[in-house]
Amino acid sequence: MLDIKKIINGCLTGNRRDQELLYHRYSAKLYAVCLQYSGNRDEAHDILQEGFVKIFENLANYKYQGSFEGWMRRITVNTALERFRLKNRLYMVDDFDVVSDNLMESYDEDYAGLEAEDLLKIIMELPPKYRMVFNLYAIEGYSHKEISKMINISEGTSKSNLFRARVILQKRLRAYTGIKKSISNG
Amino acid sequence: MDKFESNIDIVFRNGLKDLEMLPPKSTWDKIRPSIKPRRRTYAIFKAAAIFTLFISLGFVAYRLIYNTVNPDQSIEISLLNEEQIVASETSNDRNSISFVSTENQKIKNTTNDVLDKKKNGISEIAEPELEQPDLYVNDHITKRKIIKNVSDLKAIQQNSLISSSVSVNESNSDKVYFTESAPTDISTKWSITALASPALYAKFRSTGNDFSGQLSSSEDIVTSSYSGGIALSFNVNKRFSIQSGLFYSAVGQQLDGMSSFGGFPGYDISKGQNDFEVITTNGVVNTNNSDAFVTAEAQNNRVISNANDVFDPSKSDLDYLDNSLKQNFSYIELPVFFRYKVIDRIIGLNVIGGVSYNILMNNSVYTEFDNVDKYTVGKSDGLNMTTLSSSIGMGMEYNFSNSFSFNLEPIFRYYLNPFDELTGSKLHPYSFGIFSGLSYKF
Repeated sequence: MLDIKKIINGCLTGNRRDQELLYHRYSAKLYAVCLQYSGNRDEAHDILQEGFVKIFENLANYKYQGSFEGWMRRITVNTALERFRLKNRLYMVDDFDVVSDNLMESYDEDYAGLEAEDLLKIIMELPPKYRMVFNLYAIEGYSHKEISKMINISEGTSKSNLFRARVILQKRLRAYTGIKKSISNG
Repeated sequence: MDKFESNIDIVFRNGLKDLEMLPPKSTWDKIRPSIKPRRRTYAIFKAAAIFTLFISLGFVAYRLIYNTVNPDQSIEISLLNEEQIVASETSNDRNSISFVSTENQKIKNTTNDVLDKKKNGISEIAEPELEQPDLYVNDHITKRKIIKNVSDLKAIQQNSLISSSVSVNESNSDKVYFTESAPTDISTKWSITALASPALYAKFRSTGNDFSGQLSSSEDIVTSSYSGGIALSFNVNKRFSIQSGLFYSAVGQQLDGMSSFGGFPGYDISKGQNDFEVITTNGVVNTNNSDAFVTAEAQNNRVISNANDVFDPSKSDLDYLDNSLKQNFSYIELPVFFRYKVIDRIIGLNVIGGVSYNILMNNSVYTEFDNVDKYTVGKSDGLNMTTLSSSIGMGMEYNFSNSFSFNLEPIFRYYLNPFDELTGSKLHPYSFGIFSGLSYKF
């Protein structure tokens, strides 16, 4: 903590060396977050750049409450959200070629063999609307109510998008692992 | 459903939480130019302002503390000789002589016996130090002399071109502390000062006059008054000076309980003349605006109308303006003041007294509508064209350079004759104002 405090203070005084140090320390983790939200590397690159600029601009507002990495992550996620709000209208998608609403799937598969890069690749393949909701709910831990406000959709749409995201992810996971699943109608 | 929800979410959450992916190498080069450098100028200015404020306050405090005069101990000394030895005498019940070398040396304290030994320098150190004493010495070197007794000191003092006041504060039997003062350079005989002040006016009721009491109504409110001008002073000697000059002052009074209306000309033919007289403590207001109609509240018998009929403005189509009249007088003042310098230091204190001859230049009576626009009603008659006033006050003078000083002077003024005598009242106005301004000595 002392180390990061020193770097932050250096960044605040405009020390270029400390700014570069901060970037190199956290860029890899934040780039993974950008990839998770973007779906392609070019956009992830743009989100990372914008995110870091905002981080440096708002560094004085960090009050050492909570994790610094968590603080930077939130700024990065918000940057990604901003881009998608501008680019996409997030609304409930009637995606009937996936799975019936009545289906419930349960899993007893073991995905331990999957690498993190595999999971990232799978999530990047999701449609943007599903990917956004899944990331915010499952990874970041926001509620549907919060998600609905963040990306201007209804709670019902958020739930629906999440369901469909999970279904797609499940299929992709099975395809990656080749594990048989059991389906039960609910 | 819970198992479904938790399973796949957990898989991705745990799987991705520590993931790191290296960004392209050029990313930092694109980020760096976009980082705005932190603006520190505001902080620097703030720091500089606070620092300057503290230094200024400390300087003023130091001057105030170390320029305190102990009247029982104060003596005058002369600045002498190329070695710049300053000699002084302590209190009468002691024979010790203390002297100070003013060139890169500090104040010393010694006895007669030691005096001879100290011809070439001073060995002991006392406090406080003189501040740049060579400033006073270099310009006024006379001749070399060693002071051995008080007679020598006084003789030299009489012959010196300049004498500086030194106050001696005795703290204990062994040491005597000196404080250096800013000398009054009597070669600067003249000074010109620009002063201004807001003034608070009130009326002083003369005893034994019931009519004065009747007119001195609580409905009369003094409005904003001010005074300002240029003064020229001549220093008769080090402490005494005479000042004259040219000042302009404005006095205002508000008369409540009197309603004014506009649009009367349409009614004056049938209702008679439209002249109104309003009796006030400062003359009689005569309306010279034919458009104006003035009336007073029931309990207020100040308004004397020349109209034959009783005219009710509420039943006619008159424009209501305001429920008060405002009198305004302006004077040119020719003061003659005397100043006595009680304290002659960097921060000096004066006692001020004198008289002013005041010439009435302008008087007007108006009312305001919409709190903005002025509507002239008339003017006050019966005012004394000239008045005489006496003033007394104190003045603080801060000599921030050899030629310039800042002045702050609270002055009380009493008018020896009232503004008017037409009503038979004997009301002598008085005022209090704090004058502030700049002086230039030449």
